[in-house]
Amino acid sequence: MEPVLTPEDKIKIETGIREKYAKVAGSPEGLFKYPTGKAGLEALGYDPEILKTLPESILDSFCGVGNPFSLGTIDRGETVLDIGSGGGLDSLVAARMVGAGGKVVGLDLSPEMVTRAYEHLKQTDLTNVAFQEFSGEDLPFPDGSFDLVISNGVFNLIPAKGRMLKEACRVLKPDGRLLIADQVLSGALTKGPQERIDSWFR
Amino acid sequence: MDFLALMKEAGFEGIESVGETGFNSSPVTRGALFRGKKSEGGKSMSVEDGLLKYREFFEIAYADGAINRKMKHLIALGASLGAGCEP
Repeated sequence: MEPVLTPEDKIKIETGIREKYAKVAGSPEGLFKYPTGKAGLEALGYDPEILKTLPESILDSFCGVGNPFSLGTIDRGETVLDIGSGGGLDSLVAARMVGAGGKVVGLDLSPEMVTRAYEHLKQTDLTNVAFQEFSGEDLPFPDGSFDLVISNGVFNLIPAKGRMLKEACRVLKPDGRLLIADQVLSGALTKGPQERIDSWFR
Repeated sequence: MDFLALMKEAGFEGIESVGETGFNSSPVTRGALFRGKKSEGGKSMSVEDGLLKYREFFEIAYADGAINRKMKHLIALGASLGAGCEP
C-alpha cells in the first residue's frame, strides 16, 4: 500500500535523499551495505567489454542494487530514460548499447549527482547522453518518448511509486519496456510510521 | 499493494519478478529485478478491468434522472426487442 504522507513528510524524505546522495556523489564507498564501484559491477555481471570503454572513476562511482541490463537487450538506435541516474554509470552503459543513432536521458533528484554525471560524461567520447535534475511527480517528456525505461535502486526512495510507474508507462512508446532493479521489503517493519519516514532514505 | 500490483495498475503487462540481485540494503530488504512492457495498443486492460468499467458505465447510464431507472430499462427492452436481439 502507498503510504499516506503529508507534504511535510515528502519534503523531509526528499531533503534527506538529497543530503545523502550529495555525499554519495563524492564517493559511495562505505555508505552502502553491499559492494559499490567496480567490485559491485563485477558481482552484478555488467558486461566487462562495455565497462572497459569507461574510465575507472565512473566505475568507482557505481552504487546500484542490481543490473537492469540483465533483464533484456537494448538495441542500437533505441531511446532510453534512466530514472535516478546518479553518477551516470547505467546511462553511459545504455549509451554504448544504443550507439550514435540512439539517445539516453538520465534524470536525478540530486544536483550534485547530475554535476558528477556530466563530469563522467566528459571523460568519454559519448555524444548521445543528457542528464537533467528532476524532482516532482510528472516526468518532463511527452507521451511515447522512449523505447525503454531503466531504474536502479531508485523506486524504493520514491514515496509515490504508483504515480511514477504510471508516468514511466506514459512516456514509453507502445511495446516499450521497463527494466528495474530495486530493494523490496522482505520482512516485517519494526519501526513506526514516523520513524520510517525519518529513516526512509537510509 | 505490492510492487508488481503497482506495475499492473500503472498499465504494464508481461510483468515479471525475475529474481534477486543478492545486494540487500538491510535485514528486511532484498535487491530484486522486475520487468514489464507497455502494451502495443497503449494502456492494456484486463477482462476484469473491462467488465468493471462497463458496470460503471451501465450504472451511470441507468441512474435515476429525468427518466427513472425503471423507465430506462423498459425503453432498453423495447429497443432490443425492436432490433431483434435474442433474449
